[in-house]
Amino acid sequence: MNRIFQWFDERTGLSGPVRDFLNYPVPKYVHRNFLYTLGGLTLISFLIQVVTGILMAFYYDPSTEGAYNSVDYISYQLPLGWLIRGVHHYASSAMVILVSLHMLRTYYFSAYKKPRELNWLTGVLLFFLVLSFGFTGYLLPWDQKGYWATKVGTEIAGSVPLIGSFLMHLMRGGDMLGQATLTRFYAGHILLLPASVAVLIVAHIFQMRFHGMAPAITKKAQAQSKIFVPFFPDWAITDTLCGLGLLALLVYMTWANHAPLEFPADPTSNNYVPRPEWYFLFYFQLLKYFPGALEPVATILIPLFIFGSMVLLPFVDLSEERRPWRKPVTTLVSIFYIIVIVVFTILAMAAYA
Amino acid sequence: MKRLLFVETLAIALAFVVAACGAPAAAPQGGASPAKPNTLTAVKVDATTLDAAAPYWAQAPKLDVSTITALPGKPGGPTVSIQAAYDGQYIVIRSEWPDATNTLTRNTWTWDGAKFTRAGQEDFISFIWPIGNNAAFASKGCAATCHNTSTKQEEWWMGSDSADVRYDGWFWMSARTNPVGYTNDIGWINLVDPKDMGSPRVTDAVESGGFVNNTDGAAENPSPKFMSSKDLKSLLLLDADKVAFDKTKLVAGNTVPGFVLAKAVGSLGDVEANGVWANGKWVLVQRRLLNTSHNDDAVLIPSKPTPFGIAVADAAGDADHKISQEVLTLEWK
Repeated sequence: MNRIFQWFDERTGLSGPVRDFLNYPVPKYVHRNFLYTLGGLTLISFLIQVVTGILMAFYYDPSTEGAYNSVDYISYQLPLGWLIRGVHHYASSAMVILVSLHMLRTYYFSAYKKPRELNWLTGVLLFFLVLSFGFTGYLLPWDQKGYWATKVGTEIAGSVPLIGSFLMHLMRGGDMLGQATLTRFYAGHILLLPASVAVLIVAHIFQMRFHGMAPAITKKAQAQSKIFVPFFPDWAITDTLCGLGLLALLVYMTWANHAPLEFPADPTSNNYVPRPEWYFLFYFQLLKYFPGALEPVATILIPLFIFGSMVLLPFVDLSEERRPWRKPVTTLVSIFYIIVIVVFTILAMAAYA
Repeated sequence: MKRLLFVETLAIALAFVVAACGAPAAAPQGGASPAKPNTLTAVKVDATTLDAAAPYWAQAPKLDVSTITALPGKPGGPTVSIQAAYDGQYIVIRSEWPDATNTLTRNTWTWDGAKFTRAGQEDFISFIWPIGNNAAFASKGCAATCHNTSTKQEEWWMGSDSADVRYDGWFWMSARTNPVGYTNDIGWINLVDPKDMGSPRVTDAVESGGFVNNTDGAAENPSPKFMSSKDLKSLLLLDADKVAFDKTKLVAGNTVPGFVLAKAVGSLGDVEANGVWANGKWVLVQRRLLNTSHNDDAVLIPSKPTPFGIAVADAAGDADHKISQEVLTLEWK
């Protein structure tokens, strides 16, 4: 075995980089704080999505005629297909939750500050790519829910001033939702987005390794900042255990409530009430407050403002202070957004109940 | 502050998890009322029976379906209360609806001393299930098949508009199938003759049994072919009791059943039935294998929501039956 490894290493030279990767020193205060596992858990949920997505791709038929039947087959006839699709379904929600919490942790710990601006920016891009995963994946079963949510979603894009029509056509591949839309969403969901996310994750981790962990914000953690444990096995075991816990939770949720599949899409239906996935509900609720001529406020101004704020954050917040309780403005702003999102989500859920 | 952050994070995570679980967790939780509109929730039981008083019906949510007429100027129909249960093999559906009379006179012969006349309808209830996934039916229900938006009966197609789209029908009839304990298992296929409303309707394959028109087939002055060997006054004629018709045994005013009945064997008889009329209402229990393995039947898969529709008639022909206006959905608990 050792000779095989040696033969391989002589030809690739991988042992050095792998050893460096595994021996990477992790501050003890990080190892002992569960909030620092959120990034790793997001990565694990992405890997779960990749594996379950590949398994489903063996059976999925990306055509408007066959998509629903193939998802129906996966869900109700393929042995353990319900489990694979269910884990994929719930892991998509888990990914949104985890990446959000990971960003909140980064935000509250001021880990976006110099010299980690690029790491924050890749994180912001990853956050929006994760949401894009949800949006594109929603249509793939070609059921009523996905069809009408996508119709509304692309119409929202179409209402953007000046470029709206172009955006809507780009997403739909034509004027109407149809085969071109499904093909584009499928290609985006299984090719473009995973590749983009993979590249950004590598860049994100590289940046994190390059700069090391952001400085601790509590005195207790600061006292441990010079004590390190190796990434492998210490932190790897922690991440693995948390990942297994996440997988167990996803399996349980699937077992308790199989992933929903509504009836097949009927473009002529006139009584279906479109509703998005839960993590877009707050945005649908927001749209209600900006009807008619005010719509661009919700479709372009607010999203641009939020995206711009996230991008500019490390370049605006230049203070040395990292403790959130000493940064009332940033802390209160974030709490305001969290409350708005939670309240709007609850209001939307009540409206759709 | 750290504790505050922890609690806040946990609260947000919890809210999102609850949100993620919210929709599916809203599944019916049992009891006697439906949790979702137009949704029939089948409860899991150890073993299904045709007993309308089986204990498990107390646990099965009841779906009340109001029925409307498809004909202009006609009144609506009764409200049908439906419950469902299933075991590892069978689904069983219990239906209950008001009906002032138990009608057993479908095309019954009446002898006036000189000639026969035939008259009479029967009560029926039918369930329609799409075979395979059917977007139009799931979205529009019966309007997608038998009844389009036209109020003119001659414009109804009473079938599917595509050779790929088929429906499975459980056609229970008070006079022709209930007395021998089955439901006519039929289907609707692509419209064959636009002028013939019944052309898309096909009966499932049958090995033996079923109801047979009791006529000698004569073009002029037809008469019954059989009569009962046991009870000349009975409105029902079982195949086991039939003897050749003998006019000399009748007196004016006597009737002869219009059909010879035998329990169907084969796909036609897949759906067992036990219907009892009493106190001004029908209580019917129907049972069928979840998967009959017959390609003319819908496959019912526990955990998979399935759309369906119903029609009901009180001593009326096909044309004046009342239909469920909304798409009904069978779900599983």
